Amino acid sequence: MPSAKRLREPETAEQLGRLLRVSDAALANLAPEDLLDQLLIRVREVLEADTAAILLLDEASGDLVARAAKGLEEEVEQGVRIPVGKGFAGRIAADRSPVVIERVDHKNVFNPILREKGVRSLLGVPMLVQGKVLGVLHVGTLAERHFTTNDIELLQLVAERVSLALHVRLFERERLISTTLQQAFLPEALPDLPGVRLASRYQPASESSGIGGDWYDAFVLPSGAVALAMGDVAGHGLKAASVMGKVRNALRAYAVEVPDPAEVLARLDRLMRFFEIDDIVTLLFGIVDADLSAFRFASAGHLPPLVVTRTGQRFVSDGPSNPPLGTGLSHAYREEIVPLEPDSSLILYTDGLVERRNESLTRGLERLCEAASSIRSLGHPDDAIAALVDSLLDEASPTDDVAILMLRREEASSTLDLRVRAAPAELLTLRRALRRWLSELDGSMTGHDVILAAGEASANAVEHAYGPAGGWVHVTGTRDQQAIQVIVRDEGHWRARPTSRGRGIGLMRTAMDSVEFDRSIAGTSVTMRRSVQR
Amino acid sequence: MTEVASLSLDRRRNVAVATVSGEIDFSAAHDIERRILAWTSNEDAALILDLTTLSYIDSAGINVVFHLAARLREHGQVLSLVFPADSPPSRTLSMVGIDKQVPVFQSIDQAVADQGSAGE
Repeated sequence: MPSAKRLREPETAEQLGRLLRVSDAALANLAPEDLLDQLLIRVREVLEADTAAILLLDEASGDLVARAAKGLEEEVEQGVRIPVGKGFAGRIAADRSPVVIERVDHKNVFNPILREKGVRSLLGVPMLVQGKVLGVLHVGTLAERHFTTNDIELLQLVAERVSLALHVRLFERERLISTTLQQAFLPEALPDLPGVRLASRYQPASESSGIGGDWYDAFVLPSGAVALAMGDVAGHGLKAASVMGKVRNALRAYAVEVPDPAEVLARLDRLMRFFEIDDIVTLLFGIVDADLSAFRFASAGHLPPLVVTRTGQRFVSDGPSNPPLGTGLSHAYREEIVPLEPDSSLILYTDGLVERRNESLTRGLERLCEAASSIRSLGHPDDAIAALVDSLLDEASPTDDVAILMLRREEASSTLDLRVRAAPAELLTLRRALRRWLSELDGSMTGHDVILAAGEASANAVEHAYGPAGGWVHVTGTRDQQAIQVIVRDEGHWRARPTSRGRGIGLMRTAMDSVEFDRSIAGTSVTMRRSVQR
Repeated sequence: MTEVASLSLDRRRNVAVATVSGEIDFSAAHDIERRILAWTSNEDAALILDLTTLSYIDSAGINVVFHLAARLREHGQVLSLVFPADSPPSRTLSMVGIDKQVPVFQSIDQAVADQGSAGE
């Protein structure tokens, strides 16, 4: 330990060197809080001070918050907050310049802990990065002390190094947290439904600009319809990610209760206003009907969906551009409907896909439209998205996030092959799949009757084929222009049981032209035929 | 969780009204029947089962209708059905000839009015 006398210049330089070596080594391994603790120990030693503390600016509240302290541990424990401009530390942050107090009193020091501890003299310097205040570093002595220019410069030098290191650390941490959040808000898996194929891609911007606020969602509604969302929160980083999370969860909640796209947007708009979420959020939300025949959507200032059919591609949105969410113009949201033919695709995306520096948005949209003409032949939307991204994002590092969600309605199939668990709740799953398979007959008597008969046969299998361990129900179908055949099969052994199932079998016989039961030790199968016209 | 059917219960003077929306199948029928019976009181002259917004009914749902009709009859009460002629339930219910056993109306108002005139 040096003597109580002030250090001479060469010793100070040596001490500083040691201090910085320590801080560099610490940087590599320590969490920000530990790093600060280690630094304060060194600072206190080098400057022969009794106390040392770091307060960091909390951007949300605008206050300085005590984050690390030596000799003043209470500051951190009590979470002392100092408004910028107030008292000793507040003045340093406001003026961005060092402050020296030789005699502490209640007029020049805001924080009571400093006075209670009997701190007599104080020296504090701002922690600056790129002209921005990150916090304040200060040291204090219990005996009255005259801080020299040398002391001030030394503390400033330390503050500069710490700020830079901390800035990098905090930035990395924020990026990690926002990346984690962002990924948590994207759907874990896309819905897997007969008759449609979904694919998506999220590509973050290049390293320097932080995680953006793009997100997408796809989920099945209670009605069996598929909900699709594509949104963009202006800005980057943690704040954008957190707003995205709020809007995404609220959207899911509203969508399940109110399957009306314009109303969902209106409610989100009101919600954002009520909770004073003042970020700009664009959002396109829509529903692909359970029979897959159409996409009903509403847009809050978002780019229009692109529909690619066998014969061409076009953007679907004729109306004027609607305001983003949070503007209080909830009456402006209108539902638009685009029919979805078999073998056509729907593409939702964010501006990162089409925007380029020194190019108009109109040109970007034209490029997307041109690129889409080449994906018509690609069967799986995963391949189509890869092709789109390849041809549109030729720059090495995109400057904005890119999110794409694609739904392809498959060619109407002449065959159906389903297997569900033999459980009552699965009957609905079966009917939905049958409705999709027979979508162009949905609403007709033929469609109704085939679904009813298949439902009855499946309910029989669910109720009678298996014991408590359960089993499977297989439903296969074939169809041509004239007739539809459905076979419902189980691998169980029916128990003879007095039930009202007789009525179900009666319905099957009325609904279909022929119903044949085949019971064997391998299980039971029911083969039903029905002509399309009768 | 996906709810296959939803039920709303109401009362118009001394007539209980049960409106079932969505789909009644084997998975939903028992619960629907139990809740409707619990709602119907001894004071009710009649129960109106409104199937206007029902999109699917199978034999388990038809059994609910017949059970309700039988239970009410035992207590001197009446079951009426409401569904439009071109609706999906209409197709299924006509297959079992329901209109020959239970009075069917096009709207709740008509069904309530019929009860009013019957009571006078």
